[in-house]
Amino acid sequence: MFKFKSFLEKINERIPRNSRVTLNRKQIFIFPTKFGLIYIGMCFVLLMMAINFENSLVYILLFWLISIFISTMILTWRNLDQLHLRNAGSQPIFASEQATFGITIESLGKAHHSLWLSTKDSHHFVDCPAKVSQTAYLFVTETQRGRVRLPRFTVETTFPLGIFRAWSYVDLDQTTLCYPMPLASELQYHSPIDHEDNDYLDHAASTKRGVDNFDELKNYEAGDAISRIDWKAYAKGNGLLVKTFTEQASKEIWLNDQDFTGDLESRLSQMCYWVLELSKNNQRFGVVLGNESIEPDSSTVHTQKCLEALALYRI
Amino acid sequence: MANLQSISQRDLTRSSILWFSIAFVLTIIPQLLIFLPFWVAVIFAICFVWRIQISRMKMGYPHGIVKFAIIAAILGMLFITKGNFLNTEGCTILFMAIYGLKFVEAKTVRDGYILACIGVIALASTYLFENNAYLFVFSLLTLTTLIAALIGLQQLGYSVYAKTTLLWHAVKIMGLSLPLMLFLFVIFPRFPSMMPNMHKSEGDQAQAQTGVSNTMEPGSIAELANSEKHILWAEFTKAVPHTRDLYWRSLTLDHFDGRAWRQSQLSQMPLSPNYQIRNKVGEQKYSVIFDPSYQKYLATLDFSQMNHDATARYHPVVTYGDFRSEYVRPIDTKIQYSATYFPNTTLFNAKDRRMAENNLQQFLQVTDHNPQTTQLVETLLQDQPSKEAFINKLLQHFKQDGFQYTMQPGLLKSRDSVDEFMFETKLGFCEHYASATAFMLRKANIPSRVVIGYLGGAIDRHRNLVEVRGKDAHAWVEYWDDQKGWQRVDPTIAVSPNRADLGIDELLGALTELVNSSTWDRLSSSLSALKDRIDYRWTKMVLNYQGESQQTFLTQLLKIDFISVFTLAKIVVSLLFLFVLMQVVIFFKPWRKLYFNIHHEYFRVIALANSVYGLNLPISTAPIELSESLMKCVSVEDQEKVQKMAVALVKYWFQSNASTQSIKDVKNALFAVQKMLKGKNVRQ
Repeated sequence: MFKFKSFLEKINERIPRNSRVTLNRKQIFIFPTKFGLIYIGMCFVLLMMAINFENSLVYILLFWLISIFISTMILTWRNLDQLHLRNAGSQPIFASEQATFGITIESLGKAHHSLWLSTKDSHHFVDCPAKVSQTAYLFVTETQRGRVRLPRFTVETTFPLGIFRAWSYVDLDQTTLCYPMPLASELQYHSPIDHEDNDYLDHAASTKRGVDNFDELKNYEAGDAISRIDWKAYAKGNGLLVKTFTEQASKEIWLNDQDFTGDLESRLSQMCYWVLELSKNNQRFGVVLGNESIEPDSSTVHTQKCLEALALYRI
Repeated sequence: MANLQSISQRDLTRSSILWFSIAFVLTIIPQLLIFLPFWVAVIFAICFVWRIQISRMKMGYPHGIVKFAIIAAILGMLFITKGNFLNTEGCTILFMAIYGLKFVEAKTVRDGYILACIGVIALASTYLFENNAYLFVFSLLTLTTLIAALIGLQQLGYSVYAKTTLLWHAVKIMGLSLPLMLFLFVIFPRFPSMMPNMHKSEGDQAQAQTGVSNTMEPGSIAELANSEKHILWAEFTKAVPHTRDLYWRSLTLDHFDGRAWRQSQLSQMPLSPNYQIRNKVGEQKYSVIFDPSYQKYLATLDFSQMNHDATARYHPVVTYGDFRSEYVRPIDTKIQYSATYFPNTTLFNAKDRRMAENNLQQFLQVTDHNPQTTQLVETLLQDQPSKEAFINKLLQHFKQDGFQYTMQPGLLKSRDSVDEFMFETKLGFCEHYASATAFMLRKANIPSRVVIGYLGGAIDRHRNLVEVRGKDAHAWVEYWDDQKGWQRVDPTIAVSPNRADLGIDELLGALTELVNSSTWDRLSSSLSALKDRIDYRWTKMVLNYQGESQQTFLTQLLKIDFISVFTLAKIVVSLLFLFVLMQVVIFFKPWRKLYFNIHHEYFRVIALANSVYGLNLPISTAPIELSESLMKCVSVEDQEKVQKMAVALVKYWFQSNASTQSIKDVKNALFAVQKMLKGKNVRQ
């Protein structure tokens, strides 16, 4: 039976969410702009002039303008046709920061001029020469912890004459992680060795000192913190070496959301702050979130894993 | 939502300003040469400098009060210089002034759009004043720059495209639109003017009249005879008649005051012509393009019936009782008319076929001047000859009494100019001979009148074309015969038979013995011939392609009798659709739809796999993931198919520049898996 679909459903059907889209006639809409209507009015004025003065040259000018109107319709449409858009990735952000989404715009054949990408928050102008790819950026300004999705955005153009506007709604299925907003607070932690020891500050102080105690250089392995690379040695041509420190391994800290006070978001924010702080100090730490837990480690990968867990916890 | 339309408040781009400036100047220059008064030029210069200063950020945009003051000043100037300026010229000047002002104050992209519209209409207004081919080509250049400026409005930021790229784009768009423009021009129905009398000359200063006039006194044709000015082009359907038959009648003069011949009040009465076509031997149609003369008189071949367009609402050409044809208004643009030439026609008098006594008086009116000539007539009449015999005697007199044909006869100053010519100077050309002959005929009681018009013309036998110029002006005489009607007698021919046989060019060449044979002269004459030919073609093909000629052209082209405006309108609309369809086919290649779409086929595989094996794969599943999931479910020989599909897809999607072979592979692999999965579905 015929079912009346909403506009959004129809759009979703026509232009499915996909990480790459090549625009074709199914997905491009076109309509005259306000100037297009003025243009028609102007043609009408010329028609009146041509008829009343019986002037052939005015007729020619009028016919040329009508032809241009029609050609422009095709050209404007063609300016979007076969335009290839794809997800150019995005960086994770912290809540309430602006999320940036990259969109690669690629011309498969001809040039695509004066493209205007916009969402309700942001817009980007891009001009894509033939067989070249360009990257445009769109932003989502209001972000919350979890996954931030770039909404369906509009690709439009009025090139060449501004008489017609051709547009399409594209969803490149772009999401990015939004970590909790870091919130400074006192560290509440569990140590597997000494669970009763709540005096972190001493430990923290000692840890900090310990950080400076240089132990040895070892060869760089993927996953080692970049901050610990011995750049001076690298500059001398000794290859990538990583400084290691003795004292870090000695203490492991468990961050547990139950230890922090406040509502869930605020607790996660505090944990986020400490995940960042502890990674900065190369402290080994683990995270406990409800039933999930992440074993203590101090690598960059580990930090990201923790942040991701924080971002997606109970979403 | 910041879409493209809502951000039209952004500033005009620099390259747009450049092209708008060029378009502005290019629109103004021809207008200044044609009709714009000097003070408007000053305003435009100020506007232009102001605009330049604005774009150099040395001056600001005009305030509202300044704009108002400028408009008021322009209106004031118009009122002072033109008086009532609500005519075409005044309104155009006003419009141009608005164009200049808009040009200065255009700030945003939206202003740019408006400016482009005004620019196009300003361009069109030039055509109302001048419409030759060269101006038109020039104006196309202007239109192209306007379009370039419009394209420039599309860019954001600075100089995304080079300035010349804009022009190149504009040329491309113009070229792309050319075929449809031509089709529309040929086929678009021409509606009759809603204001047929709305014409630019009304209220304008009187233009110098050219061509023959309604007064003939000694020397009046001489000025015309020295001019190379175009009078008309005539194109015949068959061979052009001999020069001696090409008597182009413009008007008749029937009132003589002893020195000058004039048109009497009687002959200006709107009477319809009376004639009888004896036979149709030599009948043929011809069409004439008549140059603006700022008079109403046309020139028609003696004798011609005007061909009227049966569908036209009104006929702009009226034929009077003396067989002259007039246009409804002074001819201020090139006009076209067509007529049928009947060489064997008896011309009767207008009011009564056989001329009544009281009507005869109109053509017998003479004054008591020129006594010597009167005496001569009496001598010739002594043996009471017949009409024909008298006329022969008269012509013999011209031949034998030492009369000479010359274009420099000197001025006849006396009141009795006929006497002076007949007995003293004996030098003259057509008007002298015609005037003297008509006078003598009247003295001999033979009703007569002077006909003026043109004789011959430059004949192009290949194209069946005749070009009549000012120097072809001629005057001859008609006398009334009760049996034969009006009869033509041309005394000039008696004196100088070459006038009719060779045409004026050779005659003048022989008279002045000037041999223009220098290279430069030949070059310039061939250039002017080329210019004339372009002018003729342009006028015929473009300027006068209006209702009637369109009708003729289309009916000939389509080999039908009649085509209505409504049919034409239908054709136009279907043509527009056809054009769109054609471009769609060319640009969008709809057959691409028939191409196999890998995405869709792949989605179908996922959907099939989900339904057959109850998998819950999302649509974004990668080929490897899909094949891994399917591997667990299918038999060994099917695994191979799945494997092949995954490999082909990965190769197609992730290897740049996929070849047609890889597309074929993917296609086959996908179809194989689909077939396999569908088979499973049936089995379940």
